[in-house]
This record gives sequence, C-alpha cells and structure tokens, in this order.
Amino acid sequence: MRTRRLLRHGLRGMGRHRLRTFFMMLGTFVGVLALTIVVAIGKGTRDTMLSRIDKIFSGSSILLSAGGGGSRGGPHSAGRTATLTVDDLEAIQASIPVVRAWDPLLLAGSREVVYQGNSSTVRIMGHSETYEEVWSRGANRGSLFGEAEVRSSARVALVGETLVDELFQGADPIGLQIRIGTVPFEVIGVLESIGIDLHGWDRDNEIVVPYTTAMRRIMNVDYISTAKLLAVNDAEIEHAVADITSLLRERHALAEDEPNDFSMFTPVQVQQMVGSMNKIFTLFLPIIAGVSLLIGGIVVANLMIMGVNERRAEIGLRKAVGAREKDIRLQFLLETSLVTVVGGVLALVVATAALAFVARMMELPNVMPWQAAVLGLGAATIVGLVAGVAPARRAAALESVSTLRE
Amino acid sequence: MTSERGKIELERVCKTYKKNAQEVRALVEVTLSVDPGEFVAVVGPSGSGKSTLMNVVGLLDRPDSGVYRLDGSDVASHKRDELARLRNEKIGFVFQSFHLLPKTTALENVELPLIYCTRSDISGLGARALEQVGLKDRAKHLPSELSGGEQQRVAIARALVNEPEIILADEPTGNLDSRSGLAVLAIFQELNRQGKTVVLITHDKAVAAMANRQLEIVDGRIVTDEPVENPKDAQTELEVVS
Repeated sequence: MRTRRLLRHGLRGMGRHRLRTFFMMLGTFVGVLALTIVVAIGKGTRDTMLSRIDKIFSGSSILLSAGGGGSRGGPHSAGRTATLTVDDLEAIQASIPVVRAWDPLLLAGSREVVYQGNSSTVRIMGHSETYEEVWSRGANRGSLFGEAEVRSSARVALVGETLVDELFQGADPIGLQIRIGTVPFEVIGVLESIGIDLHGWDRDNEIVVPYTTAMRRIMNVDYISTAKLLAVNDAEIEHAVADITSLLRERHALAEDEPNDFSMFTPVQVQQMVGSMNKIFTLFLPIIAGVSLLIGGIVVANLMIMGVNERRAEIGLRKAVGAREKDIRLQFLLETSLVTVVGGVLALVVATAALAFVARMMELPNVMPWQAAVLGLGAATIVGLVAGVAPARRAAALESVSTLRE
Repeated sequence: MTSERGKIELERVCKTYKKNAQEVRALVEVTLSVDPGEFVAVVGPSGSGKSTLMNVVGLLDRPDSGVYRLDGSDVASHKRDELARLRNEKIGFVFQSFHLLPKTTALENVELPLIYCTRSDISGLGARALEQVGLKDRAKHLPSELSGGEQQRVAIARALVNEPEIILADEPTGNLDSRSGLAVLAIFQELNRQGKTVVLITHDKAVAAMANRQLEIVDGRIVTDEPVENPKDAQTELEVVS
C-alpha cells in the first residue's frame, strides 16, 4: 500500500524536477542505449551469419578435404594434395550408413568463358548430380544435370545470374553454346541466386559443370580436393567423423604414427569460428557499454546525495507526518531506480528505432532481441538500486528535529 | 478510555542539548498535563525551551529522563517506527515556515501524511481537509501561487488530514501579517471547539490570549500555568480589523 503510494508520489516528483531528472537519466539512457544496440547487432550478425552458413553448411554437414593439418582454415585453404579420390567417397557411402549423401567440390579456378565474341572470367566448379541435395542450391530456370551427364562427362553447364546479365546480356541462356577455355559447353540451367558469400565471392558469377567433366576436360586430374558429406542427422556427426577417419586411414594405408592426409570440418567448428568472430559484439563492446552505465550510476548516486542535502526540510517534514526511516529509504531508492528504469525504457525505445535504421543498412533482422531488452532493463534497474543505496541511507539517517525550525 | 484520547502527561521531563560544547538544559523537570480538548498557548523568550517541549510532545525527540504518557501509555517503550505511526495518527504539526513541498499542488501537499498512514481508503480526505480551512477552490494551486496565509492554511489542512486528536503549532503566525495570522488562529479556535487539543507555541502575548490556558517557560522551567480569562475570539477580531 505505502509502496504504491510512494511510487505514484515518486513518479509525480520526476515530472516536477524535470531538469534534475533529465541529468540523472542521461547516463543510464546512454548506457542502456549502447548496451542494447550492441547486443542486438551482435545477436543479429551472429544469427545472420549462422543462417547463411546453415544454408550452405547445415548441421549435418561434414566438409572433407585432402591434406592434413590446418582443418581450421576452411575449404579453400586446405592443401591441394592428390590423396582424396572419388573412390574414397564411394567407399565411405558404401560402408558408413550414417553418411546419406556426398558431393565433390572441384575448384577449377577462374577461366575465360566466351559466348559469341563476349568473354568473361568466371569461376568454374565441378559437382555431381547430388548438388541440389547436398548444397541446397537448385535451378532458377532450365534444370540441373543428372547421373547420366555425370557418368558420361557431358559438356553441359549451369550458369549464375550475374553471367546471364553480363555474358548473355539478359537473354535466356538455356540451350546456348559457350566455350570454357577451348571446350564447348551447352547451357542447360540457371543457378538459384545466392549473392555475395561469407568469403566475399559473387556466387552468381560461377559456372557449375559435372565433376567428371571438370576433372577430365578442364583440369585434367584424377583426384579431388574437397567434398561435402551429409549425415543422416545432426547427432550422428561425431560418429560419422570417427568412422570416416578410420576408413580413410585404412584405405590410404597410413601407419599409426602418421598424421591424417585429410581433414574434416564440421558445424561444431563453424559455431566456434562464428563465436570467436562475434566476441567483439558479445563481450568487448558490451563491457564498454557497461562502463558507461557504471558512470551513469555514479552520476545518479551523486546527484541524489546532493538532493538529500537540499531536501533536509522535506525529509524532516515527512518524518514529522509519520514517515518511518524505512519509508524514507524506500522513497529515495524508488526515486533513484525510477529515474534509471524510465531512462532505460526510453533508451530501449530509441534503440529499437535505431536498430530499424541499422538493420536496413546492414541487412540484419529488424528486431530488438528480447535478450538485449531484458539485459538493458535489468542493468538499468540494478544501477538504480545500487546507486540509490547511499542517498537512501543518508536521507533516512537525517535528524528531523533540527531541519524543521529553519 | 475515550476520555484519555489525546491526553498529554509529562512527569519531571528533562532534556539537555550540547551546543558548541556547552550543555544547554532545554527542559528541567517539566511536569505538565493537558486534557483532551484544551487550547494551550506556550509562551516564553527564545531559547527558553518552547520548541524542545514541542519536539518532545510531538514525539520527534525523546526526553533524557522523566515520563511522557500519550493517551495514558508511556511512549518511552515505543520503537522509532511506532513513534512515526503515532505522529501520523495522533498529532498534526504546523510550522512557522509552512514546510510545503514546492511545485506540488495544495491538495497533494495536504495528502502527504496519507502516504504513510495505514488506512486503505483515503479518497476524499484531502479535499475535506482543504474545505475545513476554506481553501477548497485552491486545491490545484501550487504553493508559489498562494499567499502566506493561504500557505499556512494548506499546512493546517495537512495537519488535519489524518484526523489527529492533537494539533501542535510552532509559531504558526510568525511569518504572517496580522490579518492572515488572525485567520489562522480563528481556524485553530474552531478546531478546538470541535474537540481537538491544540498546543500553540508563540512569543506573542496577543496570540497567546486566544488560548484557554497559558504556560510560560523560562530557562526550561514552567514558571506560570494559568487559565486565560475570557479568551479573545479571533473571528471577532478579524471582523473588527476588516
């Protein structure tokens, strides 16, 4: 009952002392604003990265690369060692049931592609008929190649949307003849658009051909550098990695003391990578925002203590009309935390608006995550309560008798 | 025990202050009894102990020795929170310098004691108290928009709002012109007629002449304690002045 009356009284008091309230609120406002925006952007980038990664590298994926050692470097820096073959992959699928599908990734590098006198430099990649299943990328127009084309090393090509614009100048490329280097190909499909990937590559400026064609007609190799495997579900990943390791070691006839001549990269490692990249948002910037909140709290505490001295007569009067010491303490605690909580709420409102703006510029999800809102409001409340302790004690300890005769 | 409600009894009460390393004996063996419904004026030169007496009677200060019984019960045994409750319920204070909260409307000032009271239904009490002092139409005014006399009447309404038995007024007319002072005193007389005990501290003999009983304090001792013959009526005086 008293608490409710004091709360209403305190809210009205904030309106009466606008300037004082404003200055007390400022520190908390800035602190909570910084904290929530930083946490929201951190979470937004993290979610965006993870969802993009999940699209190309879902929870049940394993990236298998030739060459041992630095498994952390990702697919493109893995050693180009001639140790991994299509036979290895077929053996894996045949004897390890938790591996449900696989697709090789042959990077034939950037090559000149010509269509009717126009030419363009394009990244060429070799894949199998499981491309869509394994990499979740289908065709916008036309169709992907099938098992027959792969088996026969057919000269068929899938092109990205950028090529449609640049090489074919917007014309429908299905059925048209192009040359990759000196080899003629027929375009049979246009790949689903992906845009710029996490490596900064334009994934729409590439051509996909059957891996057999890439190996024999373009690269002239009989080994592969990388393949992506899918486990039946996320939980089987570790199992699969262990089984693949022992199978490949056996097939490659590696001795006990020899290191692996292949490496594997799993979603667990991706999460770790994203996590460490995200540390600046989830750890360092929030700490800085926390420091500004701390300073805001110190400012509030000091202004409140000054307020206690100015309000000696008021405190004396309140005691005379029946306020207990705990009522005075509660009043000052409430006043302080009201200032910081209201400051925090205002900061949340502004942060949500700012986030909508940032989201448009950075292609982030346009929402204030509830974690950031809870963190911001919680921090504001704690700052208010902690900052209110000293002023509240001082006010409650004032001797009322001397203040009333003035 | 209804006859005891609002009864003030002091027995050999002493209070000593330290001021600038010097001991000031503010109250020396004061024995006093005020019955419910009395209107007592306490007069004396400044520094005589009047205000200390009011602080002790008003439960803002405890005596060093002696016994103070309010409503027949010894207050020495009460804890500080209990004293706060008694101040809230039994005593209304009126001060020389009004002590209204600035930037706060008259009505909200009047309602201040209700924040700390234990009753659950407090609606209308503030408005009624303002009506009692004739300031119903000033409820939304800020203290800065009111005259000194009106401010003091708001303060009296605040003292009345929780319906205490005792009104303690410390130089309530000290900051007012004589007309406003008379208006304030007329309110005290009216409250006294309604049955409230009024203890008024003043150094002004003319003000003391409005009470039914006059105490004089010199150097912490009560030197005279006598009824006032034919107390003056403030309302009549007010009509004479205007």
